[in-house]
Amino acid sequence: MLFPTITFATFFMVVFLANWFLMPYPKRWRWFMLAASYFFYGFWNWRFVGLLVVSSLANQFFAVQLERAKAESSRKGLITAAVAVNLGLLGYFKYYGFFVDSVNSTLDSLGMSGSLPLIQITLPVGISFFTFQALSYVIDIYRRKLAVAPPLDFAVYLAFFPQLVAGPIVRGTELLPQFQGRRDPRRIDASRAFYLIAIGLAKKVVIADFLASNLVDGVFASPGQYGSLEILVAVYAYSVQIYADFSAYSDIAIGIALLLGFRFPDNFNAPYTAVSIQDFWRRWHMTLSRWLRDYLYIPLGGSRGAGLLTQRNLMLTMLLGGLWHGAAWRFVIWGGLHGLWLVWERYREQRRTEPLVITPGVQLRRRLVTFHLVSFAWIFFRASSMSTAWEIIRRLFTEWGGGVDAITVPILLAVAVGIGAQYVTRPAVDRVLAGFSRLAPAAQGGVLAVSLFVIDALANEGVAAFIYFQF
Amino acid sequence: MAASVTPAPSSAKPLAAGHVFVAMVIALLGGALLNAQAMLRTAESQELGTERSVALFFAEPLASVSSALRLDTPREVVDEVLGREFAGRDEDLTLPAATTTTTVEGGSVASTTTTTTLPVLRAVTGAAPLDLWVIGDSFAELFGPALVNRSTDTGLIDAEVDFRFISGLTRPDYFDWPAYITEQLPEVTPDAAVVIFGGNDAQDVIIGGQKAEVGSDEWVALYGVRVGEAMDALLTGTERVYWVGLPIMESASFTANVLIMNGVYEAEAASRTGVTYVPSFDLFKDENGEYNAYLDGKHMRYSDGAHFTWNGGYRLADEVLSVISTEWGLS
Repeated sequence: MLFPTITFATFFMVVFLANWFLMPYPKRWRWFMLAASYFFYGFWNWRFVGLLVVSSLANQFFAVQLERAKAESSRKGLITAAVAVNLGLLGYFKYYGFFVDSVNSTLDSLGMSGSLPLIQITLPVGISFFTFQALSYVIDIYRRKLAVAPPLDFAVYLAFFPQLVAGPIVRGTELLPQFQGRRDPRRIDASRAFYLIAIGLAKKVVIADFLASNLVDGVFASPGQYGSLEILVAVYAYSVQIYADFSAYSDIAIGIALLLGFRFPDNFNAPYTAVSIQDFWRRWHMTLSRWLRDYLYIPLGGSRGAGLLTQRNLMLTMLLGGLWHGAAWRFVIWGGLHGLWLVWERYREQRRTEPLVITPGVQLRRRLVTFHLVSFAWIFFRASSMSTAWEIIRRLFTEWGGGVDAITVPILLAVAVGIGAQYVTRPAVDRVLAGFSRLAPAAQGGVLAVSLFVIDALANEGVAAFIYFQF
Repeated sequence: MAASVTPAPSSAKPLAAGHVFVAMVIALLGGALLNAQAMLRTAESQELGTERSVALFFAEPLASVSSALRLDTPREVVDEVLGREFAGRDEDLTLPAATTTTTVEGGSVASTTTTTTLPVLRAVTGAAPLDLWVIGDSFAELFGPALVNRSTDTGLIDAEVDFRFISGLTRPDYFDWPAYITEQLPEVTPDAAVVIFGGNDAQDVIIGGQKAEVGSDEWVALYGVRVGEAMDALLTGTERVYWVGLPIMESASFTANVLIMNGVYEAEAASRTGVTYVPSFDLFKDENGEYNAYLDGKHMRYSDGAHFTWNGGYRLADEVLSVISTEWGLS
C-alpha cells in the first residue's frame, strides 16, 4: 500500500479513529495496531507477514534469554546468535543472488565450471529496515540500555506501519516507551503533521516522479543517446530525485505517526546544504547514520584507536553501509567513495594546525564541492550496472558537443526548487505552521484540500513506488 | 545515543483528535471534489473487476457533484495550461468496442484487409543510419533501452524508445496508441518500428453492453482489430514494423492469455505486408521448456514473473536485432 493513494487515505482514516478510540484500552489498541500494520504490510504480499512474525518471535526469544542469562559468555553467545539469525534472514532474502552471481562470475573468469544454483527469491519490502530495528532492540538489551518489552509491544514496534517499509529506523529506546505512556488526544501536533504529509506528497509526486520520468530514467537507461550537458543535468536531477523521494517517505511517515500521537526521529536535515561529507551524513538518512555509528563503527573501535585504525573503521562502515542499500558491487563502490572522502576529510582535519575560518565564500565553495562529490557517487547508486555508470561518467566529460533537447525549463525548475527548498530554515517553517495552527479545523482542512488539488494537478499520472522500498 | 525525536514547534497550537478528523475529512473531500475528473479517469482506467467498480462507485457521484458545483473548472484550467488532454464530463468514457467500426456478427469479425506494396529497403550506412522507433507498454521499459544500447553499438542504427506504463491496445479510452502513433510519426520519421504490447491487454472488455472475457471469440476479434489498427497506423509512416510477441510468464493463466495474444499478433502481422512477427515465447523457456527467471546463469525476469530485467531486455534485443539486421542487410 503506497502512501500517496486513495487506498491508503481510506485505510488511515479508519486507523486514525480506532487509534484514538482504543487508546484507553492499551491491550486492545496493541492488537488493533498489530493487525492494521500486518494488513498494511500484507497488501504487498501476504506471505511476508509470516516473515515479520518469525522475526518478532525470534528476536523476542533472544531478548528474553539475554535478560535471563547471567554469565557473560552466555550473553555473548546469545547476542552472536541473535545477530547471526537476523543477518542470516537478510542475507538469504537480499544477498543470496548477489553472492551466487559474484561466485559464478569469479569461477567463470578463472575458467572453472560448476556454477552455483540460482533460485528466484523475492525481496520482502522493507526487510532491511525492520531487520535493523530488530537488531537495535536485541543489541540494546544486550548492552543493558533497554529492558525487554512485553511481546505484544515488541511485535507492534517491529511492524508499526508508518515506518515499516522505508524508515525512519526508529529504535526500541525511542518508540517502545511511547507505547507505555499515555498520549493526549487533545494535543495532537497536527499542523506539523499536515505540513510533513503535504510536503512529502509534493516532493514525491511533483518533484521526484517528474524528474524520474522526464529525464533521469531515460538518461540512465540509454546514456549513449545523450550529450554531456544532458547527462550533467540528469545527475543533478537524480540527486534531487532521490532526496525528494526518500525524504518524502520519511516526512509522510513522521507526519502519520504524529497524527497517531507518536514522535519519530528526524531522518533528513537539508542534506544538500552540507559543507563536508561528514556534515552530509549528519543530515542524510540520519537514523541509518546513527545506527551504523552505534552498532558498527563504535564496536569496530570508532575513533578511539590510532589514525589508521579509525580510517579502517570509517571505510568498513561505509562499505557495509553501501552494501546495506543493495546487493550489487556498485552500491559497495558508492559506499567506498563516501568512505574515502570521509577518510580524506579526517586526514586533512588532523593535519590542520590553525582553526578553519569559514567565510561565506569558503562555505559556498565547500557546499558546492560536497554536493558535486555526493552527486558523483549517486551515479553508481542509480546506474543499473557498472558499465552503465562508467559510460555515464565517460560521456559526462567527452560529449560536450552533444544535444541539449532533453533539458527543459520545467526540469531545471524542479532541480532548482529541490535544492533551493533546503535553504528554507526550520524557524521560517515554524512561523508558518504557528499561523496555520491558529486557523479553525475546517479552514485547515480547506487549505489542505487546495494543497492536495495543486499536488495532484501538477503530478504525473500514476504513482511510482518509493525508491527506498527496494532496500 | 539515540537522537531526540521531532520536537513540537513551541508556538504551534495543538488540535484535538476530533478536530484533526474534521480537518482530514474536509481535506480529502475537498481535494477529491477539486480533482474529481482526474479520479474518475483513474478509476475508469482500471481493469474491469471489483476494485474498478468500487472506485467508480465513489468517483462517479463525486465527479457529478464536482461538475454541478463547477469545482472541476480549476483542474480543467490547470490541465489545459499544462497541455494535458482533459477527459471532460461530457466525453463518452465507456469501453470502446460498441463505438468502433468493428462488426461482430455471429462471433466473427469482418476483418479489414490492407494491401500494401512492400517498399524496397534503402541502404543503411553509418552516415544514414536506420532510424528505429521502439514503442510499447511496460515490457518496453528495459527491452527498449537495451535495444537502443545494442543499436548504438552497431553504429548503423539510431533507436529511440517511447513507452507508456499501464497502457495497451485493449483500452484506447485510457491511452489511444493508434492515434498517438499517427500524431507522432511525422515528428519521429522512423524507418522501422519495434513494438511490444500485451502487459495490460489481457483484461475483459464490454462489447455492446456485454462483458467479453479474455480469450472469447468476441474478445479475440476485438483485440485483432485493435492490433491491426496499430499496425496500420505504423505502416503509414514506416517501411517495416517488427511486432514482438510476449514471452512465457510465470503464471499459468497469464501464459495462457499470452498464447492467445501472440496468436493475434502473428495472424495480424501475417495479413499485412511490411509487418514481421518476432516471437519471444520460447526464447525465455528453460531447458525443460518451462518458465524460469534465470537462464544461462543470468537473471532474466523480475519477481513479478513477467517483466524483463536488463539481462532479459538484452536477450530479447539481440533476437530482434538479428531479425532487423537480416532484413536490412546489416550483418
